[in-house]
Amino acid sequence: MTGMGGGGVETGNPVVVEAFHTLLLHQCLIVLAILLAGSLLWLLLSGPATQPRNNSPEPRARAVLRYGFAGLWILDALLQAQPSMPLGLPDGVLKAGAETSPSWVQHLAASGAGIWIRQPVVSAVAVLWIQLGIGIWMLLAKRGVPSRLAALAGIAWALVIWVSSGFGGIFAPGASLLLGAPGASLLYVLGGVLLLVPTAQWAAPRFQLLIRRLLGGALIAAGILQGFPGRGTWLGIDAKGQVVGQLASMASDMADVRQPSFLSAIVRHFSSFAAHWPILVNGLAVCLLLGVGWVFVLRSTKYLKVAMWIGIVFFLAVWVLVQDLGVFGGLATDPNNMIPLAVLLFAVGTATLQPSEELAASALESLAAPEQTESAPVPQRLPHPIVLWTSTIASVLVIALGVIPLGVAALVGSTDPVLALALNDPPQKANFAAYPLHLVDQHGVPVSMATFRGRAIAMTFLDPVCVTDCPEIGSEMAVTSSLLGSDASKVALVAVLANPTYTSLDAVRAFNRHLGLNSVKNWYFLTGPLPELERVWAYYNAGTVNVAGGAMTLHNDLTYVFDAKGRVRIILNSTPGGTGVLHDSYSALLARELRTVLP
Amino acid sequence: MRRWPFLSAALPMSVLLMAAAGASTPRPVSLPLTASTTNAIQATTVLTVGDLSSSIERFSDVVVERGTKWTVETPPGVATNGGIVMANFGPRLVTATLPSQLLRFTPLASTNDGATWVPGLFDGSIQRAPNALTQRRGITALLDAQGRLHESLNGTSWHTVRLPKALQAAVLRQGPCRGRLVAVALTGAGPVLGRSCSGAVRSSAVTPTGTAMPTNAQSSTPRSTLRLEATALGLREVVWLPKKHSVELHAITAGMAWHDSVVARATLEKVTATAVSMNGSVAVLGRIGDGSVLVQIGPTGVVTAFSSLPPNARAVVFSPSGTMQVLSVVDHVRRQIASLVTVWNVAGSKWMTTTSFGVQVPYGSSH
Repeated sequence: MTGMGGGGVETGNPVVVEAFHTLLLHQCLIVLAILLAGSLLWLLLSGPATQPRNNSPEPRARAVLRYGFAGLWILDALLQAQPSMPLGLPDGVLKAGAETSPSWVQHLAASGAGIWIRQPVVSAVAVLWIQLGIGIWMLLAKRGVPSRLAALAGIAWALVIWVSSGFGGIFAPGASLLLGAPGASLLYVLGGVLLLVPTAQWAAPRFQLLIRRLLGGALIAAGILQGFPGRGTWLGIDAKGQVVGQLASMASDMADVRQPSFLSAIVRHFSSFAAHWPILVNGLAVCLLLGVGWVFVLRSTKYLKVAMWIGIVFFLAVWVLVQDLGVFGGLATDPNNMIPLAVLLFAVGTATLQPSEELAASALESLAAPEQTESAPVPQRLPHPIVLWTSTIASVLVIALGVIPLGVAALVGSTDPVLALALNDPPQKANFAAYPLHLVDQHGVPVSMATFRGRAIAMTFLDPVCVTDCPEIGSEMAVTSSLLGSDASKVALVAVLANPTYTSLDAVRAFNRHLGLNSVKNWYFLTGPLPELERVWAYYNAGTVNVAGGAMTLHNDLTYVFDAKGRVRIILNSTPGGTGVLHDSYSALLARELRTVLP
Repeated sequence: MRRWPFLSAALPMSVLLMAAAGASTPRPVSLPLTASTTNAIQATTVLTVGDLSSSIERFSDVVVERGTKWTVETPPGVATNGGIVMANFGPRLVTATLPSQLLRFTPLASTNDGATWVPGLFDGSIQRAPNALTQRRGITALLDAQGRLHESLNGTSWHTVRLPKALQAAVLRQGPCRGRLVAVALTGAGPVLGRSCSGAVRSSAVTPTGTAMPTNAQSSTPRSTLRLEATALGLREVVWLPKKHSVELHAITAGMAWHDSVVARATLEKVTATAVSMNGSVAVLGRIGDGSVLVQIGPTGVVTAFSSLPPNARAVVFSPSGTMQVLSVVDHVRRQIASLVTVWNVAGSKWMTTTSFGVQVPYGSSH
C-alpha cells in the first residue's frame, strides 16, 4: 500500500473488489428487507389516523433544500459503490484533498483515514449505507422532529467528511470556490443547518434577509479571492507555452481523464479558451460572483430572481467546464461544490421570492398547530406522523448498518485479512500428514511433532539473517498470537530455520531478541543439524538455497496450518507486504485460518 | 570610556560564538568501505557493485587474489547491501556483513579457502569502518557501532573489553577528540585503536589504556583513522584530515615505547578506496574536482600520484608480490546482469589490463 492507502495493492484489485461487491450485495438484501418492512408497516398503519400536530405545508424553499440535499446524499451513496472505492479513497480522496494543505491538516486527514485503511471493504460499504440512509431520511421526513433529526445526521456526517478530507482544501494555497473550496461537504453542513431552522422562520423577512446576506457575503468573498492578484487566477500561458492559469490548468487536467469524448472535447475547448483569454474568463467569473453576491446582500429584491438564475447558470457552467461534472476527475465521492451551491442559492432566493401570502399561511398554521393537539382526529389521505416515524426508523436502521461496523472497526482496531489475500495467493486447502521432524527450539529443547500434540500449528520458514520478509513475518507471528486471545494457548506458532549457513542457536536467539519474540509463549523457532533441516525443507517445499553475489538466502514464504491431529489443512503463500497495515492483515488472515482448525 | 559599549557588546557575542563553535557537531567522516589488505598468501578487497545509487540494489563482494587468480568469495546466505568489513590473517579471512534494512545484528563468517565458510555472529551492529574488524592468532576483535571493543576466540561468543573512561564513546564525544573509535589493530605489543575525531587532536591512534600515540604530526586538527593495519614493518595508520583535504601515512612501531613517524602527506578532496600492502605501502584512490586520482605512498615515504587512471576505477589492491593494481568496474544496472571487473597494472605511466572477471549482482533480491 502506498502512502495512506494500500501500498502494493492496486485500487482495482479483483480480490478486494469481489469482497466489496459480496458484502454490498449481502447488506443490500438487509437494506431491502428494512425498506420492505417499513413499507408494510406504513401500509398496515396507514388507515384513518389522527390529525398530525403540524400539517402546515412545507415552505417551497425548505423543500428545495431538502429534496436537493437528499438527492445529493443519495448520489454520493451511489458514488460510494465504485469498485475502486475501498482501496482508492485514502490516497485518491483523503490524501489528495489534504496534500497541499499544512502538515497538521495532512496528519488529521491521515488519522481520519486510519479506520478506512485497516478495514477498506467494511468502511466503503458502511459509508454507502450511512449516506443512503441520510438521503432517504431527508427525502421522506418532510417536517417536524424527524426532519430535523435527518438534518442533524447530515450535518454530523458531512462534518466528519469535511474534516477527514482536509477541510475541503481551504488551507491549501490557491484555494478557490471555482476549484472546489470550501468543499461540498461544508455546503452540506450549511444546507443541514438551514433545514434545522423552524418552518415558521422561513416566512420571516429578517430571516430571509439574513440568509441572503450570509450567502451573498460568501459569494463576494469568493469573488474577491478569485480576483486577488498573485494567485494564478489571471494567468493563461507562460513563455514556454505551458498552461499555468488556475482555471485553464484544472480544466486541462480534467479533460485528460477518461470520460465521454464529447465532454472531454467541451472541457478541452474551454481550457484552451481560458488559457488564451485568462483575463476575460477570470474577469467574468469575478464579476459574476461579486454581482450575484451584491444583489443577494441588498435589502431590495428587485433583481434577486435574475441574479439567482444567473448565479445558477454560472455555477452549472463552472460545474461542466471547470469541474468536469465533478465525477470524472479521479475517484469522486460527490459531484463537487457547484451543485450544492446552486441548491443553496436557489433555496435562499426562493425563500424571498415565494409569494408572501403562501408563506404567511404556512407560518400561521405552523404557529397554530400546538393548540390543535387536543382536537378531534380528522381523517387524512396520508397519515403523516406514521410515514414520518416509519421512514425515520427505516432510515436509522440503514444508517446503523453503516455506523455499527465502523464503530466496531474503530474500537477493535483490527485489520481486514482481505488485504493480505489481495497481495498473495488465496489459502489452499490441504490434507496430508506432518513431517516427523526432530529439531530443537530456541532454548535448545528437542522438539518433534509430538511436542505440539493437541494444538493447532502455524508453521513457516524463516531466515534469521534475512533483511526483509522474515523479520516482518516474525513480528506478525507475535501479532497473530495476540489476535488469537485466549485461543493462543491452543496454537503453536512455529518457524523452521531456512538458511543453510546460519543455522546456530545464536542466530535464532538474536532474531528472537531483536523482534521481541522471547515473550511470545507459544513461539517456537526451530533449528538443528543441516541434513535434518534439509529434509524438512524438502518435505514442505521451502526451496531454501543460497544465491551468489551477496544475496540473502532464497526460500518460499509458505505457512502451513495444521489441525490438532498434526495434519496439514491449509497452505498460505503469503507475505506481510510493504506497510504496517498489510502486516497486520497477514496476521489477521493467519489468525482467521488458525481459528478454522482449532481443537 | 567610550570603548566600553563596544566591549560590552563584543564580550557576550564572542562568548556566544565560542559556545556555538563548541556546540556545533561537525559532520561525521564517512569512511570508504572499499578497502584492500594483503598478506603473503592473498590479497583481498571489498568491492561495491550494482546500482550504487540504490541502498537495496548495491551489493558488496569480497574479491580475492591468490597467485594470479582472482575469485569472488563473498560469504553466502546474507544480503550484503549494508557493506562488508573484513580482516585477513594468513589464509584465514573473516568477514562481517553490516546490518541493512530490517536486520539488526551482524552475521560474521570465516574461511580458509574461500569455499567453506564457518558462520559466526555478533549480536549488535558493527562500526561502519574498514578496520572495525581485525584478527590475529585466533583472536577476533571488533568495534561496535557505539565504539565498544569486543573480542572473541570463536566468532560467536564475545566479551567486551573494558576501556578506560578516556576512551569510552561518551567521553570521547566530550573530550578534545569528540568522536568515536573506528579502527582496531591487534599487534604483537597489544591492540591499537584508531579514532575519528571532529575535534582538533594531534594523534588519532590510541592504546587501549587511553594514551594517545606519540606523534610527529605538526599540528592539531580534526583527523580520522582511515586504515589501521599491522604489516611486516609495523603498524600503518592512514589518517584523513578533513579540514586539510589530505591523507597522512603514519608508521607506528613498538620498541621500548610506541614510536610514530609521519611518512608522507598527500592532498585529495575525497577518498573512495584504500589499500595497504604487506611491506607498508599505502595506496589511496580519491577525487580532486571531477577527476579520479590515485596516490601511492611507499614505505619510505615516496609519494607517487597517478592522475591518469583506467576508466571506472573503483578499488586499488596490492598483490602479495607488492604490485599495485587498480580494479575498474562496469555495472550493467539496466540489463541487470553481472558487473565486469577489470584488473589493471601500471607500467611507467601506462595502465595495462591483466585480467577481467564477472561479479554476479543479485538485483531485486533484497526487495
